[in-house]
Amino acid sequence: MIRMTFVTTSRCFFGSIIRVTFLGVKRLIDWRRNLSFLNIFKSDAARRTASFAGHVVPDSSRCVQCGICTYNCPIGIDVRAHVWRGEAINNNECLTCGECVARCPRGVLRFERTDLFTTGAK
Amino acid sequence: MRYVIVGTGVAGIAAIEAIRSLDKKGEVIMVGDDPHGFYSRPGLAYYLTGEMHDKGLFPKTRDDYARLDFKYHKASVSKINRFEKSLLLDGKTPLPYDKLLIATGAIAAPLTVPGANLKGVVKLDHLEDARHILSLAKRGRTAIVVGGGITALELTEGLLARGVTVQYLLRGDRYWSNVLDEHESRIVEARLQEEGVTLHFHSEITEVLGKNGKVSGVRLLNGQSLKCDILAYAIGIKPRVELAREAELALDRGMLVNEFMQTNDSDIYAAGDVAQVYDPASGRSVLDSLWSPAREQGFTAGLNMAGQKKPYIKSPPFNVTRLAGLTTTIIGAVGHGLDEDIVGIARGDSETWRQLPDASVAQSGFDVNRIRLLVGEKNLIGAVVMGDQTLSMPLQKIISGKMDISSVRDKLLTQNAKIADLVMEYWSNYVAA
Ligand SMILES: Cc1cc2nc3c(=O)[nH]c(=O)nc-3n(C[C@H](O)[C@H](O)[C@H](O)COP(=O)(O)OP(=O)(O)OC[C@H]3O[C@@H](n4cnc5c(N)ncnc54)[C@H](O)[C@@H]3O)c2cc1C
Ligand code: SF4
Ligand code: SF4
Repeated sequence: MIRMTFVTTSRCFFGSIIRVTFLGVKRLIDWRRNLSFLNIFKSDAARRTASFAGHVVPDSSRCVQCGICTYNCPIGIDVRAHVWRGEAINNNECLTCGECVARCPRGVLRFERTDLFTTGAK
Repeated sequence: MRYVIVGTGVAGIAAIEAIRSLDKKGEVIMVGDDPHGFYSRPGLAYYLTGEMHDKGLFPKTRDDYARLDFKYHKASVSKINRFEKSLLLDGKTPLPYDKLLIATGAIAAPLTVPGANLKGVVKLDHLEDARHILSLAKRGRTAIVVGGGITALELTEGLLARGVTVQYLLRGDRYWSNVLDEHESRIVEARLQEEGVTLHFHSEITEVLGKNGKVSGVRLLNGQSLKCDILAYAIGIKPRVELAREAELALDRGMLVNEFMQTNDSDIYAAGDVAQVYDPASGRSVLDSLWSPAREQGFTAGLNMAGQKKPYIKSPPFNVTRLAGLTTTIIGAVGHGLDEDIVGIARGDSETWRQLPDASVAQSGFDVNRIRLLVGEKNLIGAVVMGDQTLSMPLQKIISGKMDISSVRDKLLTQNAKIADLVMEYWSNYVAA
């Protein structure tokens, strides 16, 4: 049941990291697959929309404020400060490139669908 | 009202945030002896490997500090005078307080063998230590790492990343024996070997050898000697309780506090690595050396200092870390006993991880993706997740939420159970419900 996407995702996720936006996008898609696998999206329709919508949310209790996320954000969003406050990255400028998600060594960050799209899906 | 906070770590900062959430007017003063103030100590490991630069380790901006509206004294507190309710800074300046928080953290347990003060003998507590290590860690040099737990591996990885050849000495017959099981230890050891680290088991240093004041090698108990340019040690940590001891505050291994983070002096609180906190669940007082608990304890202390009675509720400790490049989450109670490589407790460690009650063990996975669950009567009580971290978050919630797993318990304990699938199925059903 654990699919290949998982394995590859977590490998590129935590292993040696490649810094190309192209891969960032691929990773992002993998991530959304992961989420759908977690059954966070309940209907197939919602599952489909999930591959279009998403924002970065933290699990703050895992964070050690090392700053790697902020350092790697291509547009300079202070991701770490959001995590400290327990807030999702609600910054309109966020590219959802996945760089912060991929680089965090502690699995603090993940993509979650935006509510906007699920309402439409149902 | 004057609040004084000793220590510029995460516990101290969180306390100020809590105080300011309730009391905008009181005077808040922070005193600390680290020249760099507040920064991410766990981040030092990433600074050593080069994944992070040192300037990026500071989470707070000038504006953040301005909003918190406190005074900062860079000074060492030499004494607490409880009867005058006053501190002595740098042995000379008195600083009176109404409410005091001791958040002095912990420092590396010292290496006590002869020669331990030679140049090139290093530890990793502070940013200055990390800078010092980097100044020594030049390509082509050789290092010996002794100790256990996470910090020993962080030192190893950091040195390797800088081109240093590393030998790792372990006293016992495997790595982190009281938290990891044998299979997990072997995975970590094998990965270290793959990275080029030479491991020496059953090895104990009796003397650090030197030349012209600099370390040149070590002598072992079995008479053998090994050469090195750097000796890095991580043999455990010690809560910084000297001030509390002199002030005759209640102590065990750390400063004893009740659930309101209050010591036996009702105006003095303690939080973070220095505090030994009462855990109502086990009825024991335990030490943690973990960032999130330090933050939560500091915050709780701050609320109580500012007048809101709020108990600290200890959640099962957990840490996500890299062991020889392998992401590993440790949650709840997973091991037992003593580790010969660590005295007391190590960084990023919790005593709870070793309080394994009667529990059955379910295991799954292959070498790089492995899950071990500690299964209690109705709940999961601990887990080690190595490699693939998909289940790390669900397991953390299942364990800390004491969720009833009766429906899958028997399946988990059958031989060759597909643990990952079972947990995922259980979690999916829970999320869908
Ligand atoms: C290398 C390393 C790796 C770590 N890895 C992890 C990890 O993976 N996961 C995790 O959860 N945790 C980890 N930790 C532990 C985590 O950093 C600590 O639990 C946390 O920093 C504790 O915060 P604190 O505020 O209690 O103490 P500290 O951050 O230690 O701060 C205490 C402060 O008090 C000051 N002080 C002490 N005595 C005096 C005095 N007499 N006068 C003035 N000032 C004084 C010190 O200078 C220091 O700044 C790691 C720590 C280190 C060093
Ligand atoms: S990289 Fe991860 S652990 Fe580090 S500050 Fe960002 S969210 Fe926290
Ligand atoms: S997803 Fe990309 S743009 Fe958005 S916060 Fe993370 S790194 Fe920055």
